[in-house]
Amino acid sequence: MALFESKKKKDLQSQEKEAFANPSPKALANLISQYVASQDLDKALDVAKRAVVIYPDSEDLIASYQNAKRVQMGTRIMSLQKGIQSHPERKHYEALASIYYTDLNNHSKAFEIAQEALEKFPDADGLHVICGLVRMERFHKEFLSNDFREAVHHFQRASDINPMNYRAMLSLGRLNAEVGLFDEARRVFDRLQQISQIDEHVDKIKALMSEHAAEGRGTDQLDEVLNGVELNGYLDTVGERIRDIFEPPREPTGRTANVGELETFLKDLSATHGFERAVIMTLGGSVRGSQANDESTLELFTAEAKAMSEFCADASRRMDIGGFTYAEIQAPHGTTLISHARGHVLGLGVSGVMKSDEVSKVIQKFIAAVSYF
Amino acid sequence: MKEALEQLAKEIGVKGSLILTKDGMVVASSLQKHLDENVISAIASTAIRAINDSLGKLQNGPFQFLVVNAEFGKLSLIECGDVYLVVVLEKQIQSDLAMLSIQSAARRIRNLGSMAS
Repeated sequence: MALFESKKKKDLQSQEKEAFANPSPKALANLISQYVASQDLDKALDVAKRAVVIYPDSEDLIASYQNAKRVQMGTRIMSLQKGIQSHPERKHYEALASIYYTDLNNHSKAFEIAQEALEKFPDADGLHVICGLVRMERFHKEFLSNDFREAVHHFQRASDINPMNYRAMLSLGRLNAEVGLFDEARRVFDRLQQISQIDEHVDKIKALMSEHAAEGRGTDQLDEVLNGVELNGYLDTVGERIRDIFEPPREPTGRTANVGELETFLKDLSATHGFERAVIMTLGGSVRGSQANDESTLELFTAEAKAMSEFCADASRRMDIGGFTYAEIQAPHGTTLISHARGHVLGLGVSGVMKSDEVSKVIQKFIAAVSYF
Repeated sequence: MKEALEQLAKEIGVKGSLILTKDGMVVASSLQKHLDENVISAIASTAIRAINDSLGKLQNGPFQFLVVNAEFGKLSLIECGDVYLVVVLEKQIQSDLAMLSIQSAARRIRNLGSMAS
């Protein structure tokens, strides 16, 4: 067996020489796969890194590199999970959460691990930072005040535990600045600049805060500010400019509505099997469009669809599962579908049961129809 | 009933579940540590009342099955005779497969309920 392994290794080594002497994306991708199959993951990643430098635009090589990374991580993940099961240590949890967050880009899983770990190791600043980062991402997606508060809590805790935790302080200062708590942000940045005097992000934020000093808010106004952000579904102009310092530019909000898109969507919707009625309205209840087999039922349906959507949005918030997207309600006389997107509510009533792929299609088309709002 | 919930807890993507009477009492639960039974049961009870109230006005109720989808998770409620099965799920699960397991658990609970009566 050892002899066979040794021969296999020699074969791969000579293949590697040949592949780099006469490189091609296909040959290199093949070599990487062979190293992965022979479980020599260090070699697989080494070859992959070198290959991607030669052919940075090769999708095959990028895919091979990512696959090798995933397999390598898989081994590491299993080892860490075993460690957690047998004798849980803070470092196991920190490493595992970090792998999911940074290497595998699975932020939900990283968050779950970090939350579980903090129950055992409440003073792990690294885990607080991961929780804070995930909460901050969620806040920037859904603008729910609970996510902001949780993010701030975790970053504050991390920096209290470890005053040298740069990422925690930078994120804390950033969040405070984004919602207009300029004095709070400045206090954090002053501490941060004792660790490192040069940070272009901090300099840019400070410049923006000085430019818009009159728009700064006190901590006593935080509830009001967060309610406003949550209602609007976006930060104010200064907040967005601060966010832009850290992130690539996003789609502008408030583009011109395309009512024709809505009409087309509703017309198509009326062809749904068992269709009875549908309405699209703003979150405030202004009807944008409707269709019904029996028009006399529309007013009541609109009112109840609004009520159900408000309830579902509130339930999602209280459950801490993020912003409400859609609900499917099956009852004796049919199915009701309620969805939120871009400040709009869809209410759809059909007789009978809707298949899951039908539901998905309706939701996707609704999102596309209101995407210009 | 607890056994049905423990079986369900083994399914990928299920974060926890509980069984609620129609007046909001928790009969049994199996929840991951970070989930608060009181919070979930309160939200579920209110959901049942609010949604059934709306459906009643539309002369279509009470609901048999409700799933609330959100950005980072799902909540499903299934009527099982005298009780409701409430399941908290991850967002990124295969809906059809998960629903099969949940419906199976709901059937067991419904049968247990009818045997008890």
